Amino acid sequence: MATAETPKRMFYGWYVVATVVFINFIAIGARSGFGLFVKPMSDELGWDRATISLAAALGVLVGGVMQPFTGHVFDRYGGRRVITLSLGAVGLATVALMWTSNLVYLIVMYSFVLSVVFSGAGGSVVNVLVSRWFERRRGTAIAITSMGASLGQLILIPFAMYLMVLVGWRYTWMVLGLSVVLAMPLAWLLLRDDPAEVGARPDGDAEPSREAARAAQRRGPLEVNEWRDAFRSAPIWEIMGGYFVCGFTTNILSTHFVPFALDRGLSGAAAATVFGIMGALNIVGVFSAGYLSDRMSRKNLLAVVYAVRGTAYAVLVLVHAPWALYAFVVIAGVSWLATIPLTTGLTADIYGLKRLGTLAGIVLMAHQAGGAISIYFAGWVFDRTGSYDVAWGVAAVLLLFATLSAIVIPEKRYSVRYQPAPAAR
Amino acid sequence: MQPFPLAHHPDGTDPVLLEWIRHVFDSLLGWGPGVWVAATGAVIVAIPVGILVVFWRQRRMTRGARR
Repeated sequence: MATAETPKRMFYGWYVVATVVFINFIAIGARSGFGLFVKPMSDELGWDRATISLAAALGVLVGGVMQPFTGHVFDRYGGRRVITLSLGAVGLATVALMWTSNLVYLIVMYSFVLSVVFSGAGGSVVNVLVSRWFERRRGTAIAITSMGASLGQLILIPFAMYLMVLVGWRYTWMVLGLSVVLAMPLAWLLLRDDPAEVGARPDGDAEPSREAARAAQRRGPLEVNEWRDAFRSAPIWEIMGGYFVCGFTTNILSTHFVPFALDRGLSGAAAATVFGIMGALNIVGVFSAGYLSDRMSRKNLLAVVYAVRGTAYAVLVLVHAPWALYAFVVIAGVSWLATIPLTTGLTADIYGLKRLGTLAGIVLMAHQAGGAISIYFAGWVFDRTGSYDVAWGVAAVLLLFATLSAIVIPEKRYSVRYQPAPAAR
Repeated sequence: MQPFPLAHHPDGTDPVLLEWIRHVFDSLLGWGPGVWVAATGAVIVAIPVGILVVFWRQRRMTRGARR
């Protein structure tokens, strides 16, 4: 009998996860390298840092605004096509940056073209695709793919940094773009929109028993066929509100932490070390959150993550000793990326998979809006008060609201994970 | 304003931080830029190749066992 000798096959969903890890690795890694180009491009083209940073900030906004639209296209045409084509477009747009000669070109190409096409290759769509392959291990799978982005920054940034020393910034853009194109054949060959396409079931479950088949037909009471319907219920607003605060409290720090640490008397190297520790801790944090969220309530874990981050900001405001910075980094570091699997997982569990692309895009747009507002808010506060204390205080208070907003999500009532199986006929 | 170094979703990395990372790498390993590019470039190519090799090997094994 063939079945007795057939070697145990790895669940196809893990190939999807591995492919998405590489997509995040290459696409997010390449885009994160923008900071590398600030100095050489400014020097050659005679721009100041603020001008070139404007292109980066605009890129964040455009990318955020595009997410719901890309998510809608994803829901309609499937992830494999959208992601593969977007990867090609991201690669070509990145190559095109080598011909930058004026600010208008940079803004059009980086802030608009690249940000628009990037929303189809990174951001929320890849997590939505992974959500279709996993139900019980959804949090873990999304956490693993999120780690691909951190890994990309770890490898691609030194790669681009040293390549620039060898061939200059123009050819570095070209090589980075071609590296992204490298992911296209992998995506086309291995990505599949649904487990049924390869004769599998979510999580790699075997052919179900009658009991399991009934359990698989569970539907959450808020599962939507149209994305608009989700906005008639409270949980999407609670999830979005929390993610807005998440964007606010991560971007504010990403932009202002190094100058803040220098103001507190840390050397540049120490400030960078502290930030590096945070980078390592966020990898630990995201995996732990994803893994735990498959075993306990996602909304409670999300509340804990926001509360932990809020405590870290409170420490920053209340304690002015140098150790407070290190305490902040350790406490906040674990919470940094941990919200991604929890937020996407909750949205999928409550509203189902049919319109998840659009919904996850809208939730991510709220995150990016929070991020953009926070950057300007912190700068504005610093210019008027000469300190970041008010900005950190606002972040702490907002995180308190985000914690409460996560706690009140009626997960047990609406999440498909807690729904009873339909009765046998 | 600096580009954002550690956002959730892809944004630029802080130039000050990058300069420091480069300094640390140089002092730790003392590799030249060429060695760095070759080493990290090899990792970048090895990841998709590795995924495809595992996928095709397993597909061949499963098909062979079915026959």
